[in-house]
Amino acid sequence: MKSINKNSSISIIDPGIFSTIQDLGRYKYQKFGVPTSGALDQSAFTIGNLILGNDTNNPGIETTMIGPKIKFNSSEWICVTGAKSNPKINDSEIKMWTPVYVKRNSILSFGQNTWGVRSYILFKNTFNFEKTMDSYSTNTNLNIGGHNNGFQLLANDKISFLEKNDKLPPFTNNFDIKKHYIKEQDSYTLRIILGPHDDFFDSNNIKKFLESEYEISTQSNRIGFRLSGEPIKHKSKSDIISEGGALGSIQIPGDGQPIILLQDRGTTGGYPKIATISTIDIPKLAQSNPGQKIRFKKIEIEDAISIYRANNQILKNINNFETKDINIQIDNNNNKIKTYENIKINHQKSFEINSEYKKKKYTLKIKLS
Amino acid sequence: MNKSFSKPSIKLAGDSAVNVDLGGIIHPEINFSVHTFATHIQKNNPKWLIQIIPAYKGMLIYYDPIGIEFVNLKNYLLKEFETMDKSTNNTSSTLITIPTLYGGKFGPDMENVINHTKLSKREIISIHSATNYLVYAIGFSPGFPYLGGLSQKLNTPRLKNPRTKIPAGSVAIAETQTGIYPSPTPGGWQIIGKTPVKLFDPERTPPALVNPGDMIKFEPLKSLKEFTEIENKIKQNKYSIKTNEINK
Repeated sequence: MKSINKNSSISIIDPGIFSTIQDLGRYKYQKFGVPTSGALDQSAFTIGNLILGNDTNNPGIETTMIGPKIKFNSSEWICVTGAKSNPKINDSEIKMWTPVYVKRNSILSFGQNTWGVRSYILFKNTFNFEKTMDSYSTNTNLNIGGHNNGFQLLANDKISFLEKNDKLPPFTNNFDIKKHYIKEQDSYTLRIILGPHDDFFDSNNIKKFLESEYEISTQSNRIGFRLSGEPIKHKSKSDIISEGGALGSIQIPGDGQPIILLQDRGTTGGYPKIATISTIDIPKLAQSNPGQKIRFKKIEIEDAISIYRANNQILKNINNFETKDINIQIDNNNNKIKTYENIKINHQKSFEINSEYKKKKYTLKIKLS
Repeated sequence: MNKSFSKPSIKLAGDSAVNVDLGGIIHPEINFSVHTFATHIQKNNPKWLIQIIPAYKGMLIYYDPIGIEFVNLKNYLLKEFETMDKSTNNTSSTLITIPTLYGGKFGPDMENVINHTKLSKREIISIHSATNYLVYAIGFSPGFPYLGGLSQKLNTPRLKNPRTKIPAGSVAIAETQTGIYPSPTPGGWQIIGKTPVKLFDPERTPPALVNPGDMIKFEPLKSLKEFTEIENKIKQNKYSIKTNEINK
């Protein structure tokens, strides 16, 4: 007999190197000077939620290099995606990119990353704390959002979940890592669209930028990645009148070393931007370590948009099953006990309903054939 | 030629945003056309629009590349600019009064400004608080207003060693700019005073006190006592910020 856990939550035993709560970001507040924040690898984040059958914006935890150690105070469905981080439940390795049921009092921990930098822990459940400006995302530079006034996860933090029952993730999906996620590589070529300020540079310097290899410096974080390599010279001015800077824009400050602006970037800035990385290549950067090398490849805007659309279509197919509503009626010798209406069935094999009859609690296991 | 309404120049900012430039310099008329156009597009609220970030002379428009073909986006923006109501009859603006205590412990760089400008503290306060400053844009940090129109008489260079943390509410100047720091950030401007008013509050709707296109006026406070009184009223939610509609 199961009872409904009134205290569904997780406790942070060890936060890892740098773990934050993120969703897809707070887009509507940039005009007030508020950075978007949000998961750096939006691909891994989105796929994790799709695998769990969630809204793609359901908040999760972004880890960096070494993940946290988390105690589950309630049984929860999770999915770990992103960097190959060797997640374990109580010392047994668990699969990534698939729904995993974590029983109450279990401990989730991570090993060394064998590829990539950032993993995502997504939950079927949703955190139970107020969003800040419409988003759960944490910005630790400005102390905005998250579960604790804009701070990263700290030891002894306890994060509660909303009470959600009888929801199981879909058991089958079309997820195929080769098709849906970036390839594991030690160095990437990032597709870029020239502009908005490519006219600040002569053709020789643009050529240099496109033909050189750059190393990701250790001064790289969620605000931006600093690169080192061939310096790019401006024709004359190395500053612009401050204006908005898009995600993935590559600005060239006075010293000629490119800086790629990411999710925690300030909304406006004053350096010329030679090019912008195509949106679907940002995850490659999010999974690259300082010291790794990158190159750029110029593509046209029409191609960039085709790639963007194709990728979106592929993601849609991961869990594109028809959801059906069913009604269940429970009766005892033709006495109606309870009716459940509009239960969503999303390609599930079985699910459970907690019910009560004559002050006794029952869990009904329902198998679909 | 009317310099405030030159044809927009549309530049690529990746696959999900475009830069729309309406001029090449910092000028109140160009900035006015930026905010007029941004408001116009926002009102139309096309389904592909994600967010507009207006700045001094142009704006960054984030869009959903699934919702519109790029060529249609470009044509749409040019056509809307062509056909929108560009009448400058509506020259009224919201003037927001920012009570400020100048000098003392809240204005640690007042001495620098006195030494550099050879003006007295009283003169500096009177010059700084006499102007209605235009809010050209919001950016840099949440709620930070880029203000234009500082008197040349107060032109003082930035600090040689920027501070690692400037207290929230600090009123500062640098060369021809003046500004208010809404949250503690590093910065190299000369701090001449402090306001108890919160320029940015995530709990407030909208969270930023001032909007681009508004005007700001600083009102000198006489004493720390007056500053503390306002600060307490703000804490108790009993302070209402003075705003007026004025002609530009």
